[in-house]
Amino acid sequence: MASGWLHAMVPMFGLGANATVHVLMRRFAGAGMLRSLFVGFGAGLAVTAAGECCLDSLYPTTLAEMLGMAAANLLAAAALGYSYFHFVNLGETARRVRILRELREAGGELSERELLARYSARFIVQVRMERLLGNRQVVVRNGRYCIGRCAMLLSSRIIVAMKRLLLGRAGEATLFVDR
Amino acid sequence: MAVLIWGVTIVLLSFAVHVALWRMRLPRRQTRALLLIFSACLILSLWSLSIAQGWDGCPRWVPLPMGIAQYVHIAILVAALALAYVTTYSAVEVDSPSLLIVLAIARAGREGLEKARFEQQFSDDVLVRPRIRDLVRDGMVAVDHGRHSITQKGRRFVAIMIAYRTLLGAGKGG
Repeated sequence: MASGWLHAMVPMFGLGANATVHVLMRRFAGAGMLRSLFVGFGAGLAVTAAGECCLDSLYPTTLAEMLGMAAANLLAAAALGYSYFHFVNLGETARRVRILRELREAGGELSERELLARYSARFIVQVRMERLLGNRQVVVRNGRYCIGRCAMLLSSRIIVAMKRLLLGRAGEATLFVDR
Repeated sequence: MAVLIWGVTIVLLSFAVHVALWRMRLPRRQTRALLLIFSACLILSLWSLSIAQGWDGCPRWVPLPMGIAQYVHIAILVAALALAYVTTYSAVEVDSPSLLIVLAIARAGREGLEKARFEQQFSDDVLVRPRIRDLVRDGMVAVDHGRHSITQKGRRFVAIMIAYRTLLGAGKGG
């Protein structure tokens, strides 16, 4: 049935809308990366919901079937949008991507010492602290770093719980993390 | 309803297999192993459903997919959820510097963490060298007599990232 194939494609249109809105907001509205990603994600879900409504009006079926299909497609669109967010975030924060870029820009080859001179732990921490301070996830009080907004801390604790469940340990580096 | 029910069931089944296997032995290439688990569970489940459809003894209350389109739809839903899980898992497999920073500060309690003490703790051995080793393991960087060189696989991967960053008008990142 044609409706079956059309329903299957709806989350892909949602992902397309997500990426398109994100890119347009970045290039033409000058929006920040995070804001444009969230708006794009919302647009993706909206297009998915609209697509489902259109198909349900063209090919009506039982209420349970319509709700089930809408839930499946919104779930798929949200998962694809989440993955897109992380794809974009890879370019923004991934150390492996940055290391590859440094090698490429250096003509393809560097010694470890040369690589660390271009991209070091000090730089990594500095960039992330700026981001955390900018988003107020971390604040400075009396010259000391303190937790501000708790979203990042909550995410970090969930990740540590998953590490303990799946890997049997809190992380690669035990500093400050093992209790 | 069949798409939602079977899509979520297959993902939960894959997760259970993943946890069970990880308890027995941690794979060397964890992301690849995860993708194999999700793919295998999807293929086996869809094959089982196709057999159930031709089986007269299948209970009526079991919602079976209607037509090839719904099988493809289930596969799309499972692929989307699997992709989301695998991207999340990368934060489980590898310590995020932001995660380490936030947990270090939280552990210091209400008084917070001194800037000087903080800056001493994060070294190249913790934040950079493990990632270089990952790139070598994944075949994106080769090491020869102490020189690190980017491979063709590494060039292809980073070219995609650079192209998209350029499209977004964004800088180097890192």
